[in-house]
Amino acid sequence: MFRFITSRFLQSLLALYVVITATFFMVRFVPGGPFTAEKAVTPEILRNLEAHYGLNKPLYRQYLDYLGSLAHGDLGPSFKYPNRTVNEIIGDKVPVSAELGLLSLAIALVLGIGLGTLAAIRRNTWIDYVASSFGMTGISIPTFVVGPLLVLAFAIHLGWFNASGWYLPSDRVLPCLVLGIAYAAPISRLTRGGLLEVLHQDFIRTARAKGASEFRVITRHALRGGLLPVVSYLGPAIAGILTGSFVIETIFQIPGIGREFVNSAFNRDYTLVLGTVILYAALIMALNLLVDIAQAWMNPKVRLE
Amino acid sequence: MRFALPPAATSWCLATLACMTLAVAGCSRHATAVDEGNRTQTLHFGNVGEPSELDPHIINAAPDYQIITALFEGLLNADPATMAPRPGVAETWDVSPDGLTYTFHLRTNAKWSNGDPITADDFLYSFRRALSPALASQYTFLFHAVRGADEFSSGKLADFSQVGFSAPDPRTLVVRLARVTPYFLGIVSANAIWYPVHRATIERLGRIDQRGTGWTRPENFVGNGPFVLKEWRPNQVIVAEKSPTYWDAAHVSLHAVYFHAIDSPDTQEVAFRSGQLHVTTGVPAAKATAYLKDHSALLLRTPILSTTFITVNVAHPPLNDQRIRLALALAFDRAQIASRINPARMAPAYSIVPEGMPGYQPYVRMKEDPAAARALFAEAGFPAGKGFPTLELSCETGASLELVQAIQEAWRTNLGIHVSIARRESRTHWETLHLKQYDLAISAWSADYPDPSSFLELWRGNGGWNFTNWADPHYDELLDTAASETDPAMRLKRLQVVESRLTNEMPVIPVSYDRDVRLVQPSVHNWATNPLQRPDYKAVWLGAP
Repeated sequence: MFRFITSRFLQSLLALYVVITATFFMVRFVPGGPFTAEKAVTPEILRNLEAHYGLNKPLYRQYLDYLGSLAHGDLGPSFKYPNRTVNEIIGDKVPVSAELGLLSLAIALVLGIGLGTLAAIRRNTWIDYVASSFGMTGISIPTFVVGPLLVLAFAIHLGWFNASGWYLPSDRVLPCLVLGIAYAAPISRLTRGGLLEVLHQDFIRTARAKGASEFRVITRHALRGGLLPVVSYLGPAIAGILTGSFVIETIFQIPGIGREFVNSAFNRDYTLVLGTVILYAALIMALNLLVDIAQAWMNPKVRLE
Repeated sequence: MRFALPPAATSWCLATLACMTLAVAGCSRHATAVDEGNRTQTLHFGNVGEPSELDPHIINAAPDYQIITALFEGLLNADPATMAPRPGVAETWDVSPDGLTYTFHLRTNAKWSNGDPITADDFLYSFRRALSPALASQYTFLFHAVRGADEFSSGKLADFSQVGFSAPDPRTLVVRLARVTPYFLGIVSANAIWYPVHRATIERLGRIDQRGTGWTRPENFVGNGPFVLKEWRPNQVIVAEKSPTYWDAAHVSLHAVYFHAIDSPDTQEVAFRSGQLHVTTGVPAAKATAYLKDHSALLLRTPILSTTFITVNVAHPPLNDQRIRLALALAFDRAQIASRINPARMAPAYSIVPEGMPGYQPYVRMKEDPAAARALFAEAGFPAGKGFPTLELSCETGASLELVQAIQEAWRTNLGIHVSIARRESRTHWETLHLKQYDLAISAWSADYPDPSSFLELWRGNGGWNFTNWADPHYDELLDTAASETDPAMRLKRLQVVESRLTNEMPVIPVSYDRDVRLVQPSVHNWATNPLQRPDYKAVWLGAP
């Protein structure tokens, strides 16, 4: 186990290094730069701006400087927000996205696994049809449709919640619900599929033959194997959900990190692009490792070594 | 086989369901931010996004300008309606008979938000900072009228005392110009780069010419405007509270302004409708039309000094032929396009300098005339568009696709030519323009100060914003002649001649004059958007409609 984790950690570090290097050079070769704007700046001003941010050095030098500061945990200054560093921006926004993500994830898991399980154990009944329709609808209708519909109903017509913002506890309800439903849909389908496969296996029959209650059979025996596809799905899904959603954050005006992924690329905010990519890559790698460990625990057939 | 949930699980499910029902039933329509704001004189303003900075010498984007007028005040203010200069920190001012020396007399009761008095030395320090090459401010060109300013900002002159600013005493600031500039006061009153900054605060946190020292964070901030920065939650809200030290605080009614950073116009509109915002910035095109029809009292439309036009790359044949450019200009119906796409925001434009420029009558040569356009095409060797190459019409992804398509369609119908549309993400679009790798491009320009030269100077042969490859020595000469004219009325007439040259040569094809469109709650009084879109929060108050 320890050997497995160490080797995976080293592999991840190598992959992270490759991601950083590729991103560093790729953003530099995109047309336009951080100071390209409608009103062109004069060559003198551009030179001074580039000198301020060290962009006047040779590219390989900038790259080595960046790696040097990164080794000290310094992600550099933001180009778009001269007043703020990338560390500060990420530090401010990740907790917001994580809060949005964790609440949504809780909704997604309760709703998704609950509906998926109900659909599997009541296969081909109206419950199954309702749950499956929910799954299909949730997958097909994008969040930018569900979001404004919920806003229209609950914020404008009923006036129960604010239409946007992230100030009050009640401001969490609509965005978390929209994002939660979006993730609950595939989870319910994966749960149903996984459970159906497991429910016909011998060890379930054995459990029943031993007199275990149906509730126990499902929760203790069937779900452990039936949730394996969900767990593999959850690795990248959690990384995505924790690092924010551009659409949800825009519709509900949430100050999370999701919008920075997109906006930093549009703004050619080189350091912020790198910061967000590093964050995302590191999370994906960490969560994939966790998923592998979880799968080994859930499925005795999987061995880590 | 049938599965049954055990009784415990069933009752758990029922309990959850009951709790959810109670929670939902417990929700009721709450008092909105607007209701609460009306009571406490707190204005909720929907800003177009997160400001990049609140340093008046560094800001460069629209969201920044919406806030900066609340936090700082320059020597002069612009009248909200006419844009005429009004007293700011300077109570009075004199102009020398030769028009080259401006003397500003500062008021004695002008104070910084920490209580320090504002002196002429503060302005000298601020102008030196704004012009410092290392600060790399992008708006130093707004000092170009001042003697020695260009040389100092480009690093050719190191001694700031050689620049045309002096402070004979703490209440007097003298500005010497390099040449007569009739619109000088217009520049001073409309631009943040002319605002003062607090010397002790800047120096406590860094060098005079250092960017990003954090002096504009709420814990460090010292300003001199009617409001002072209290809170800055990035991408969420900036709170500015009434400044007790402001010289005219007695006439400031609002207790606070909340600048909500809301990028999406749709989200702003929904927030306005649900009572979270008093004032929005912009309205989505489709909704603006609906408001215009059904709720026009909520929709405020102000003509602004801004024109949308097509930039033509005259180096790409056959666009090097003036007849072709003129024909393209004659061949689409601006009024019809404006009314179809966004009647709230667009008005048909037949000149580059927009209507509403104080004292100036734009030069209008042409109206639409498809038959004349076809004749010009035939004369240039492309009868009914035959043999005309496929050109590309570029625009930003943020530009209205309907507008680009309408022009494309009009040219196809009226001239028989096909142009392809290239929509590029903003910076890529501007890069292709800077590199002049385009044929035709949708562009827009808003004046930096209320004078036609803010538009006409753009197309000088060596102008930094002239992407047309059109360099006309005669045009530059006409501009120089107008600039040296000391009689203001005659100067404007000469500028009209300059514009006529531009319109006849048509390196840029006017499309629409733009309006500022926003939603304003009926409880907001005295809201005024001036034609340069610099909001004035001083006079605003909230109360029953």
